[in-house]
Formats: sequence, structure tokens, C-alpha cells
Amino acid sequence: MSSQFVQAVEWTFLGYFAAINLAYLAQCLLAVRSVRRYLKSTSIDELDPAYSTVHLPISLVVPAYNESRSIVTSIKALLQLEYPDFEVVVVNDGSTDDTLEKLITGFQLSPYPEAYRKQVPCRPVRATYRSARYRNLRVVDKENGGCKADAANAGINICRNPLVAIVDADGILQRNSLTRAVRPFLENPDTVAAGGAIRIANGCTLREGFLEEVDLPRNPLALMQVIEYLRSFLFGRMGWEPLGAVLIVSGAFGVFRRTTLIEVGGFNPQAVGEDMELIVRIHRIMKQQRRRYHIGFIPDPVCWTDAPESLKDLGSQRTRWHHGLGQALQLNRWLMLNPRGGTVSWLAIPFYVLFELLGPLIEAVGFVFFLGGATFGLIVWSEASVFLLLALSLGMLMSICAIMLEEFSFPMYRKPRQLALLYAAALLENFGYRQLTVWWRLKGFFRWLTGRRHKWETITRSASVGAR
Amino acid sequence: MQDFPFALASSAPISVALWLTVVSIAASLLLLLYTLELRVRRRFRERRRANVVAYWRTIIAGAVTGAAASGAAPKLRRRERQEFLRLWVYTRSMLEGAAAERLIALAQSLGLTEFVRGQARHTHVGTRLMAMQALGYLRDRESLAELAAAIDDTNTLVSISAAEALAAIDPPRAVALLIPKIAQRRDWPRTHVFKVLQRAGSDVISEPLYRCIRAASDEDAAYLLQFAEIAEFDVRDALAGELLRSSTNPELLVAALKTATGHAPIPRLDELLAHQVWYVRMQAAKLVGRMGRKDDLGRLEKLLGDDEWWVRFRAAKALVRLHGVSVSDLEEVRSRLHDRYARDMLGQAMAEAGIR
Repeated sequence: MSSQFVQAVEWTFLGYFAAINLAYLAQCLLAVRSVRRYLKSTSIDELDPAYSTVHLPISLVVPAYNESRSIVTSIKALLQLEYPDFEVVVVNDGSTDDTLEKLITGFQLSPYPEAYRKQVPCRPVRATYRSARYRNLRVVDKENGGCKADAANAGINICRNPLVAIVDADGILQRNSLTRAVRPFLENPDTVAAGGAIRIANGCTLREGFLEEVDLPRNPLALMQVIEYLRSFLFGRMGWEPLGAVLIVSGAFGVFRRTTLIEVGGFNPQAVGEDMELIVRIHRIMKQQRRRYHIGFIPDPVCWTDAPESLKDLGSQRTRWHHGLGQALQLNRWLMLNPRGGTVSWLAIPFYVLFELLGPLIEAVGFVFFLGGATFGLIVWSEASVFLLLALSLGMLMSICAIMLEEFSFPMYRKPRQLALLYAAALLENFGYRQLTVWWRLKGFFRWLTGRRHKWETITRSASVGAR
Repeated sequence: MQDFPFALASSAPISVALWLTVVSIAASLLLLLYTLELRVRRRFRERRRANVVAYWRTIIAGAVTGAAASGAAPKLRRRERQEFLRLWVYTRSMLEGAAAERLIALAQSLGLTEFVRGQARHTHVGTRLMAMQALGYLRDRESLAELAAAIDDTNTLVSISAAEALAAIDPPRAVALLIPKIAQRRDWPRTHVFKVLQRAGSDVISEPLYRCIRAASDEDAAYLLQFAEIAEFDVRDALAGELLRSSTNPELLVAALKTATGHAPIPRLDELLAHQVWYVRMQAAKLVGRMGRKDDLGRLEKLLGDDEWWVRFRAAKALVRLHGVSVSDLEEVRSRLHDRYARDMLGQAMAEAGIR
């Protein structure tokens, strides 16, 4: 009886492993196809310098809360972006440090009466400022809304251009990030939102807010995250893009059509993962209204972000992300297997529920079952080891797929040492790091079940981002 | 199960798991090797490209400045042609006049024209586009028929690039072929259409564009009017005047208001400023800001209290821009506004203009 039960459980886990990895493999193949197509189209871009004159005016909204240390450098870098028509709207979300004072002195701001329309909900604005030095810079000082979503909404109300990019105050953009990010809007007029690949800035060298030299972080936690980001952006999102089922545009950098943001009610201040919730909501509303739309994704590294280097910060981030995932799916559950939802309802949402949301739960049960079973003599150790080895080898295969995609598309880590380090990380992340992320995600899962609320999160900035 | 090669495999799930492990490890190793191969190939390609570019850049620079060494012309090797073409197109895109002529002469002496003609029939779109662009830069009249046929290609970039090349070689012919198709080819990026029309010149495009717009449906005319920006001023004002007098379609009225240069009187202006569709009122307010004088102050003042935010915004901006209106005039207007929204809006516009 017990051996039959054990075998049934073994088959269940094997089936789950096979399903999840086949899904990832399919994503990887789709991503290879998308990247190839994208690389061909970029070679078209190079043909005519005049192509770069095609542009849509864009407003960069930068929500900031207690960013006193880096805000002036970050905004100066944003103001130097290569794009013909853009404005920067910084939203100070009632910071308790001297973020606003730094902005006022750094950019010679003076208050002026902005008669804006409140089209999406946000906490009251205390004052608006404009810069005497930069005509395209405005700063909004508002009451603290407790979350990034509220600050972003204030920015959406005030900005004036048809495209809005939400940018993290500590995000490092490439000089041509905007030109790249608006491409989906130029190529497909149905595009309502678009994102690009986010990379880890830890270990890189910066000069005046721009990336000067790319390197891998020395901190092992940050190094593991490099692999995770490659997996997530290169084959996670690029795989969904051709199916019209991108469910996440990263909060670090995403471009939206302003009219769409207003139509769907802006960011949800109650959402823990406001970036994912917004995209899933856009899918839902567009499907409900039977409208044509497209959410684009480009594999170019458009934004570099500071990854947490301590277990506490990383744990808190991963717990929040998983909590946000559950909430986004729950709030938009209309999409689940809805006949009107197309690939989003029949592929993406079931995938996210089964493999992303429930993944840590199943993985944790698997670990406990095999390790516990072996300890208590239900399973022989050699059999448990086979399953653990399988989990390890499949995890490594997916990471190596991501490294291959990176090499194939936009290789940033060009030194042999860096490639070796990436391979080492792909192997070593399976020993400890992966189990930790399962634990944090599990915590997020239970937080979602119990419905706890979330506030602005401050991550300790890494010391390994070398600034000059 | 006894035949199974792994001694560990005591049950079916275990043997499947073991096989999967072996396959995934093997796949990982293969991918690793493939990644390394990709890297080596990329390095090799980059190095070869750098050598080719370094060699030909000097020769191209010599041709541009007119300092090319006399004697035997360099020979363009088969494997260098693609890289050279890229470099040549890039340089040529920045040049006009004698330097461009010398660059064309260099390309012809190297037999680039024949190569490019072949490339223009390539199946790879990127290659084809590059070739068509080069044909335009080379002003290759022998390719005219092929480029004219390519304008009807279903691929957006191919068709518009063919039009661009054609405009570089024979502007009147390009315009005659292109203008009747613009309204149907909404897939053409507008900036590219602008570029082609600009390259042809306002004297060449004004008349055919005028005729095409007057013969078009309201929807097509509204779309085509945006390109009238390149036409001669009198043609723009004639089009705007005629359409504003005769049309009731809001989209067309907006397009006509955008087309007007402000040098000719605007028919039905007060009617348009009070139009029931807000974006017509907004566009009319913008036009008044562009062409109006102090006498128009009252017209815009009324719009400051409009229900629509954008109309108030544009009216305030227009008021601040009006010729002959002083800061005290604006302060006076502001002081007599009872509507808080109107007052705030004018305050903002004045602050943005730096007069408050």
C-alpha cells in the first residue's frame, strides 16, 4: 500500500516536473524565434539614420520616496537621455528625508501653479515645481500615499505626453533606452504598453548616472539574481510576447499609452505588485471590451537596477513579488479560462497559477516528501537523490538556456571570466539559493492567502555599484 | 526493469527520472558548447569586420575629402562587399554636394552598383532595404522600374524604402506614384512619407497633393492634410479655407485648422471656436494663438471657462502667446475671471511662459 502511494506521488511529481519544464522549453524556443526576428529588425533600424527621427513624445514619471542619496544624479542622467521630445516628472511621495530639498537646490526648482486634471486616484498634491535650468523637468510634491502606485498615479495625472514611462528613481537607463522602448508603439499602433529587459547593475561601473562598464557582482546573492533576471526576461517574457500574453512589464521601467492608463484607472494603490496587476488588468479590460491591443516586449537591456545583496532585503522583495502575483491573478480572475480571453486566459494565466503561484508550494512539498520519506524509510535514499538530481539538472538546463539566449541576443558579459562565473552561478544556485527563494515565495503565498497590505519598500543600495 | 542500465532504477518513475536527468545534463553540456561556439564565432566576425572597416574607412575618407590617392583603384573583395556597403551607405547618408558625387564615383569604380542591384532582389528584407537605400544614394536610373514596382510591395518597409529611393533618383515620378497611394497605405510610417515628400520639394508636391486632397473622402482628406505641412503656403491656406468653408466633419475641420498657416483669414472662426466637438474648439484656440492679435483676446477669454480641460489649457496657452498682449492685459483678464478653473489655468500658462 505504502509503496503504491509512494509511486503515485513520485509519478505526480515527475508529471509536474515534466510539464513545467516542457512549458519552459517551449517558452525558450519561442523566445529564440522572437529574438531572431527582433535582431533582424534591428539590423533594419541601422539602415537609415532617419528612422531614429520617428518618435512619439514621452513623459518619464519617476516616483521617489526617501531617495535623497541618489535622486539628483538619477534625474540628471534621465535628463541626458537621447530622445528628441520628452519630459521628466518626479513625484516626491511625501518623503521623510530631504529628497525634495535636494531636488529644489539641485535643479533650481520654483513652485508654480499647475492646473492638472485628476484622472486617476491619488493622494493630494501639495505643490508642483518647475526647473529654471531644465524646461522639461517638473517635480510634484504630494502627501505620502504609502506606495509607489499612488505616486505613479500622481505623475500620470500631471504628465502631458501621449506615452508615459514609469521609471524607478534608482533605475539606470541606457542613453537610447527611450528610442528602443517606443519601438513597439511605432511598429504596432495597437500597442498599449511595452517593457524591456531589466539587468542587474551590481558590479557595474557608473559615470554620472550612466553605465560605463558592465561586470558581474561580487556578492553571490546578486550574482544568482543575474541568472534569474536572464531567465525571467530573456525567455520568460520574450516567450510570451509572440503569443500576445506578456503579463508583466517590470515596475523598474515600463512604457504605457497615457489614454490606456487613464481608461483602466491607473495603478492600483491596494496592489502589492502594482506593475503586474496593472498589466493583467489591462488584458482583462481590453478582453472584456473586445478591443484590439498589444503589449510589447523588447529583449534589449533598457534598464539596469540595483539588486538586493542581503538575505533580509532579498527575502522581503521575493515575498512581496509572490504576494503581488497571487493578488494580481485573484483581482483579475475573470481571465482564468475565459472563452473570450484567448491565449492569455488559456495559456498564460493557467501557467502562472500552476507553475508560478503554486510552484513553490509544490516544490516545497516535493522537498519535504523526498527528504522526509528517505529519512523515515518510506523511500530509499538513492531514489530520493535521483529526484533531487533531476530537479537540479533541469534547473541548471533552464539557466544555461538563458545564458545561451543572452549570448545569442545582446551579450553584455563578454569576458571569459564572466561567462565562467555565469555557468558557476547556474550550477550553484541550486544549492541553497533556490531553496531559499522557494521559502520566501511560500511566505508570499501565505501572505496573499491571509491578505496582508504592503507599504513602500526601501532596499539597501549595493556597495558594489561603482560610481565615478 | 532488470534490463535497465542503471542499477538505481528500482521503479518506473525512478527510471524515467533518471533518464530525464541524463538527458537534461547532456542538453546542458551541449548548450554550453553551443554558447562557447557562438562566442568564438562572434569574436571572429567582429575582428574581421573591424579590419574591413578600418581599411575601407580610410579610402572612403579620402574620397570624401577629395584626397584619394591616384593610381590603381583598390579592389573590393567579394567577402568585403557587405561591410563596405554598410559603411558607404552610412557615410553617404550624411553627405551632399561634391563629396557625395565623389563617393558615388568611388562606389561605381568598385562595381558596387551591380552588386547592389542584385541585393535589391534578395529575399532577406534587411538586405533588400539596404540595397534600395544604396540605389537611391547612387541615383541609379536603371533601377527606376524595379523601384517603382516595389512601391506596391505588401511589406511596409520595402514599399516605403522603394519610394524613398525613387524620390532620390526622380522626385516628380516618385511623387506621382506615391501621393495617390498615401491614403490607402496607412501602414507607411508618417515620418518616412514626410521625408519622401520633403526630398521631392514643396514646389513638386503642392499641386498633386492639392488635387488628391480635394478629390478624397473626408476621412482620407483629413489624413492627407497632415502632409500638406510641406506644401507651399498659398496651397495650404487655399486647402484650409475651402475645407473650413465646406466641411462639417470634425476630424476634417481639425486637420484643416492645423493646415492653415495663419497668413490668410480663417472662415467661420467664431463658429469653430464654439463648435460642439471639443477638439475642434481646442484646435481653433491654438490657431488663434498662432495668428491672432489683441482683438482676439475676448474670443479666447470665453474659452478659458470651457468644460473641457484641454480647451481651457490651449486657450490659456494661446492667450499668453497673442501678439500685442501685455502682462497687465493678462493680469486684468485673470482678475475678472470668476471661474476658479479658468483662473488657475491662465495662472499656470503665465507661469510657464515665465511672466508670473
